[in-house]
Amino acid sequence: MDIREIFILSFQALKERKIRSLLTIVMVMAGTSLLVAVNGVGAGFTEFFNKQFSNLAPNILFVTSGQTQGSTTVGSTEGGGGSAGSKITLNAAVINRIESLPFIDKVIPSYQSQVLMKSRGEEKSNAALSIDPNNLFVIAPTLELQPGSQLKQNDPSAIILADNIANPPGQDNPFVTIGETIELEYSFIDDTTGEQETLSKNFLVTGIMEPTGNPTIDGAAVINLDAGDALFQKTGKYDSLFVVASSTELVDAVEEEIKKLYGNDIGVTTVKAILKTIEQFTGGITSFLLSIAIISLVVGAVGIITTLYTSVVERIREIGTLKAIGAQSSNILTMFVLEALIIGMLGATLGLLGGIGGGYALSQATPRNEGDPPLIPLFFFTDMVTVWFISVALSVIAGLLPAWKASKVSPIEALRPKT
Amino acid sequence: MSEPSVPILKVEQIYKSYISSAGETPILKNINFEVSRGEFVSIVGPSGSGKSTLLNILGTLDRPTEGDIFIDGEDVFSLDDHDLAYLRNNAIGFIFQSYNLINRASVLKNIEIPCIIAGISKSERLERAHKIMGLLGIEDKGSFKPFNLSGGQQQRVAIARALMNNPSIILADEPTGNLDTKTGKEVFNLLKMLSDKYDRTIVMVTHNPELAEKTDRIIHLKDGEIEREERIAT
Repeated sequence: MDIREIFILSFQALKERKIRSLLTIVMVMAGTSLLVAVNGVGAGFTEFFNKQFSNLAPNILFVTSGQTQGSTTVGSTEGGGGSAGSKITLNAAVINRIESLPFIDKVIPSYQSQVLMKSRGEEKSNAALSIDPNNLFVIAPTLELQPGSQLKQNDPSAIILADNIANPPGQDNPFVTIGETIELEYSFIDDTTGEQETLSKNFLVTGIMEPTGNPTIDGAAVINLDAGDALFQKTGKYDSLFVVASSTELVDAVEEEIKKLYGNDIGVTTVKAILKTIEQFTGGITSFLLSIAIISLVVGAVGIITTLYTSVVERIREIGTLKAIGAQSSNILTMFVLEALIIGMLGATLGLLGGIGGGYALSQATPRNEGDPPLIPLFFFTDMVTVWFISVALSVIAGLLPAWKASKVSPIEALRPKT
Repeated sequence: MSEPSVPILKVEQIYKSYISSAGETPILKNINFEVSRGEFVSIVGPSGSGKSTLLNILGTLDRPTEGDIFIDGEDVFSLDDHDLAYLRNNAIGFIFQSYNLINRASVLKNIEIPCIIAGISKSERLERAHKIMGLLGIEDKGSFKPFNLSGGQQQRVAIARALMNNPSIILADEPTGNLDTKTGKEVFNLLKMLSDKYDRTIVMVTHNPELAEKTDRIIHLKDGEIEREERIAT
């Protein structure tokens, strides 16, 4: 029997039951769309984070340690907790030692603490980064300062603010502008008395940093090392070091060298490791969503089974007649499998289009920070083709069961006159 | 009346029973008859006499419990399901009481289906279809959908479909059962014409004694057995 003629009969059968066929196609489409959309957004996320973190100079390693401090910083930004004392204190000696290792250009020390900032009668809690301001350009090579800004390297009263501190998003008035004074208040628990103490100091805003995409910089209030040492009572015990390797390829070697020196008493983080962690995280979410998408694809397949089963029952006379006039069981099987194939192909194709649209809609709906680059879903041709074939194959497999039942219909039962 | 040497249909010792929880129920017993080429045979009998079961067995849709059927000398129940389907397609033409046309396909497509199943080329199919449609007076109905035709016209379409592969035998199950008397007569006359003029072999199950009287021979079934055969003098 000519396959084209069977195809025409199948297609006409679907047209005869328009609404039911359409609903079944929509079921297949839903699963396919979800699969495509989730895949696209997942790829978009990875790309997004890659872009975000490409703003981090890839040749920099972050070295941290839980310091044996005389005080516990309130909301210490670097989670250096753990058993104090067993860790290395990041002091000038450590810096010298690390600097003497091969492949190292520079070691940039910093203090970090949470402070309360007061300006124009408003207060906000924020991270303060205490670092040589010139080194900001090493950490964030794309950093740009707003017009009128000045870097005052040796001025312990100068402060440089990230744009989103000076001009908080969603607010009409700036929190502070260049040339104004801002008060930083630092609270800590005095170890000897056990009471909370507060230190504060006024700074002159000398510069505002444009957003860079580097999270260390973009939320920071930057003061120089002397100012940080005094305000945070650090006495030369740094919170973290930015170790600049002579090239990106040497980052792993440098990490190994530092680890060799200090073992687990020191924390070394690379941009690569951060990216890997984020990739694992987004990968986890994506595979969770993908499993939901696959379930909905299976639901679509069950929809095909239901629709075609109903169709077999309704068309039992047609099946009986075709068999009586000589159609082989295989012809009947083919006719119903083709119906599943048509549903699958239409559903999968529409699903691809719907998935692309859904992917963009999902990206739009994803919450993200002001000024972040847009999250754009990525659709790869091979992925789409794979999803299409999976949907179609699943549809055909689902069609096999009712088709097999149709092929086994007894013509005598089917043709028995209804009374 | 002269009988050709080889009968086109030979029915030998057909016995058919159904097994149910109540035990074995015989439907057909001791059925023996022959039909020769060009003969128009009617099978009559009260409801439950086994007419339809017999026709189903003649049409190879059902297998007898015992006994054999030879169509053109071939022992049909020695064939497997695949070959039986092939035989139905090529050697048997079915006409049903309720026409059993495929409503979503055009009249022409319905008529073409046996040829499509047989894998006959489009041009050949169309040539045959148009010839037969002309013969049956439905040459202008090809593009219609079956449900847009009257009952009589639909049955003509079904007859056309039954003729497409030039079958050895045509089996008609109450072909006029759903039609009014006048239309029923017209349809019957077409079958009669096919038998008389084109030497078609037809076995027809009917309730209508008036129509049965116009066939060559009547087989009376009662309680699953042939009560008597009646040859109609022409």
